[in-house]
Amino acid sequence: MNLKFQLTEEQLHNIGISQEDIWYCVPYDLSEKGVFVRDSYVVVTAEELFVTADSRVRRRIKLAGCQVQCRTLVNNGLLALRQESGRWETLVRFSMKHLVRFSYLARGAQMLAEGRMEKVESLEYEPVCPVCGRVLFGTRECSYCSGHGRFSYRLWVLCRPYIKSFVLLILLMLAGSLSSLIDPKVQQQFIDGALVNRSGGTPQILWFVLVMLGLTILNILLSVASKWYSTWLGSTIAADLRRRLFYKLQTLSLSYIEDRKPGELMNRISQDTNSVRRFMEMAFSTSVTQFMTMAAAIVYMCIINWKFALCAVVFAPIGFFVATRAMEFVGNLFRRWFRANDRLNSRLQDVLSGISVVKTYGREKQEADIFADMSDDYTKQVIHRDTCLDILFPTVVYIIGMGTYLLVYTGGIQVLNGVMTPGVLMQLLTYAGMIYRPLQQLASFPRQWSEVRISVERMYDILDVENEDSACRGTEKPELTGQVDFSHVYFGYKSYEPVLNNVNLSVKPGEMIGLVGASGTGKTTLINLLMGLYKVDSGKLLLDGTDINDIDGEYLHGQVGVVLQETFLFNGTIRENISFARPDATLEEIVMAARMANAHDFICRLQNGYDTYIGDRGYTLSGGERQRIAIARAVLNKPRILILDEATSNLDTESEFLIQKALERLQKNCTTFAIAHRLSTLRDADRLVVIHDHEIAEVGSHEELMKQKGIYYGLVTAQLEMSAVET
Amino acid sequence: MAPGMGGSPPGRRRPGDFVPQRNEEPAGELDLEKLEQQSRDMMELHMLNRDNAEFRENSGGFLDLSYNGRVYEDVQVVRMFPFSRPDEYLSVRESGDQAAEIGVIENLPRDFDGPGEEAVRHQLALRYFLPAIRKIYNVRQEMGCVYFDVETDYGRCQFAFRSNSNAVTRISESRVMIQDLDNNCFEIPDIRKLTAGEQKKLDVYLT
Repeated sequence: MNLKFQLTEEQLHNIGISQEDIWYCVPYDLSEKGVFVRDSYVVVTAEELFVTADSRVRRRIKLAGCQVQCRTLVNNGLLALRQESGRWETLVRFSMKHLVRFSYLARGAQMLAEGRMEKVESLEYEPVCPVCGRVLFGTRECSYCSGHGRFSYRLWVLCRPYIKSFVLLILLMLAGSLSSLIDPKVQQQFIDGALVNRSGGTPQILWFVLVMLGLTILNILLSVASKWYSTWLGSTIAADLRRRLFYKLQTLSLSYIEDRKPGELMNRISQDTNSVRRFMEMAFSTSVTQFMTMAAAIVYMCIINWKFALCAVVFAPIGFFVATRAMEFVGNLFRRWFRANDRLNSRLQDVLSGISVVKTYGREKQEADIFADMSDDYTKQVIHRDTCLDILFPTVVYIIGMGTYLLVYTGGIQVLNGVMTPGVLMQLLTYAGMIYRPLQQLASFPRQWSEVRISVERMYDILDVENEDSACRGTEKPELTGQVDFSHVYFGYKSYEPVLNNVNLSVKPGEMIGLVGASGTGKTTLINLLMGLYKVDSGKLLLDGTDINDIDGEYLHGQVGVVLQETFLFNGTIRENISFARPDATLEEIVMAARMANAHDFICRLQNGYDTYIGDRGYTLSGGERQRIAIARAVLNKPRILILDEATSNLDTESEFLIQKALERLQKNCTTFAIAHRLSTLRDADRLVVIHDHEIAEVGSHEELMKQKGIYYGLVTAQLEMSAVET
Repeated sequence: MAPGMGGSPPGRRRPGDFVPQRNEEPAGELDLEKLEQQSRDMMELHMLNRDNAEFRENSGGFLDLSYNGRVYEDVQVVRMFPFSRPDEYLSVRESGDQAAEIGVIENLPRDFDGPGEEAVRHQLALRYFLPAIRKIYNVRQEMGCVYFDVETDYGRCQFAFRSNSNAVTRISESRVMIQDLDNNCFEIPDIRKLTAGEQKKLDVYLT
């Protein structure tokens, strides 16, 4: 994201600096009263901060000793500053559009004010294309600005591996349309040669019937073949896309995935690939055949008589004009209907999944009424949509087909005058029919085209995302001993909402670190960073001296064992779940891991032992049992770094003790980070790290911290007194 | 940490900084009592009015409050019902992330007047930014996105949202909220006051 906007010469002159002096330059868009403004900037140089408005300098402040904050308010934000021994004051206001930029600027300016000459850089993408102003969906390149041919290029890339199949398909279609073109010619010869002057006999009629039969069979065979072939092609391409999308999604960073609704991503994999398939199957095959037939028919008519060809198509442009003008209207009809449908479905799902709440509060009647209203609205939309469509499309078809009247009139006169034979007129009318049918179909082509276009855009939206915004994309595979160093680490899920501020911590191999602090202070975030799920905003996270960003992701995850509060077990057997990270583990290893996790005994009590199938999210197991399986899963990996996030919170004290003893044995070889609200869980930790207000507040052993009488001391005494009250 | 970033480094806090004040007292023996006090406080609303509280805008443009013989600096005023009751039930809180509530203004125009009311209103205007759309100039749909060009009571502006999202929501029969891609919010106080054409443009995206 750009933190250094280019100023004009005049603006630079007014400030009295050159472009090179600027460290950060970010626009703001609200005046003090909240009115939208333009051309107003906050400029930060190494020593000073300027606020400009309409290319004039409004404020000029020496940075040294100042404090700078970006504050998030409701739908807007402000940059607050406090000069030494002064009060906090508002410098500028801005809408959410510039909030992210200002959060970086504030951090950067604060560093400069403290005399740290480090530059803050934003790895985030611009939300809007700086050139054309169109929205970018998580891509670096604007698909519009990178060229109009972009979509066709993508389609080409998509189809390239199947080019041979496409050629074959088009040949099949060509043969199909040629065979249907011969039909009218044969008819004409039959009418003019055998019927009109009554010159033919039974053999001619039989011969004609046989030829017609043969042509029809050929036609059917060709059309079945090309239909089947295009279905195969469409499904294959869609399957290919689905596979690529799924793979891509797995490799994307968590932050990208969490930013989007799960339904949206699912739609992209299932629906968008499907719309490509549909397009290939329906639109592509039929449209291409029809189009070829139509073109050939027009050419043929022109050969016979170009005036008649003109008569046939003269109304088509009007029909097309009406169809395209109606396109937006029809699109909106569909959109309204989709919305009504969505509303209805989500309400239904909402109420059904919360049916027990509805019943306990006796709200059945009200819910039924609300649903009835929505259902009425939906019905109205469907009727409205279908009525409009039923009027519109036949009208368009009728307009396009009006050429037939002209054709019959002029052709009839010519036949009466003896200029044209009845057979030729018949032939012309059949060709005209061949033109109209595809034209009617082509009227719906733009809709299908735009649908597949949007689907391809949406899919490439994911395929094009560069993976670099997640950590551990490197290739290095250093020998890990468990040495972990946090150095000036800053991180927030949204860059304007910091979760960790300036974290500095060095952990020796084999050490057990207990993380303590109130909920929402950033303990879980700290271990998320350690697992390489997110990339730090600034600062460094080193594992055995190697930056975590440079480490190969798969390698790292093989060295880190994780047990989380929310244990997710997959559908499968207990054995499969334990050996999830290492499917090649021997049975002995699996049993040993389960024993260490104190899970062996309860598994043995199950009828099917380790082969017991556990359903959705391990539903049939109790919370404690699931947690123990998750611990076994982590232990099996023989990790160098073990992460326990409330890993034993669902266990009784006895099992917790047993597992802790087992883990202690394991911990000799690995560094452990443990989070627990029950402080007794952490009594064996070598060091406790107290996180408070998104920063590390205290570090030390239990005894040291108790002596210090700080936050930790407070937490321990509170828990002790609480349990004293309980007993 | 304050509701922003780039704040003070550890150990450089000064009084009046954006740090909850109770955290500065050494935590310790009194904790249980404090928790009980806190749980008692949870059941009580401290109503603020012109007789027991005084608001003043400080030189930095933020709000100070004197209440019960104590001066709170840089307090925040939060609307409990920002849509349905913008001037009633305002929660006055200490500054900071996990700020405690000092008290509640039940009804601003009834319980306060003069410079105090002005100062609170100014603070609310600063905190809540919700431009109301007066006129829709243009709506353009392109590649899954809808671009609006509108006139608001804070001037003309452009914004965009995804056409397949729930960006436009009805919060009452006639009142509509729009949230754009940057999480800016716009309000249409009465959709019936827009022209038929404008309503039609909007209708498509209304959930």
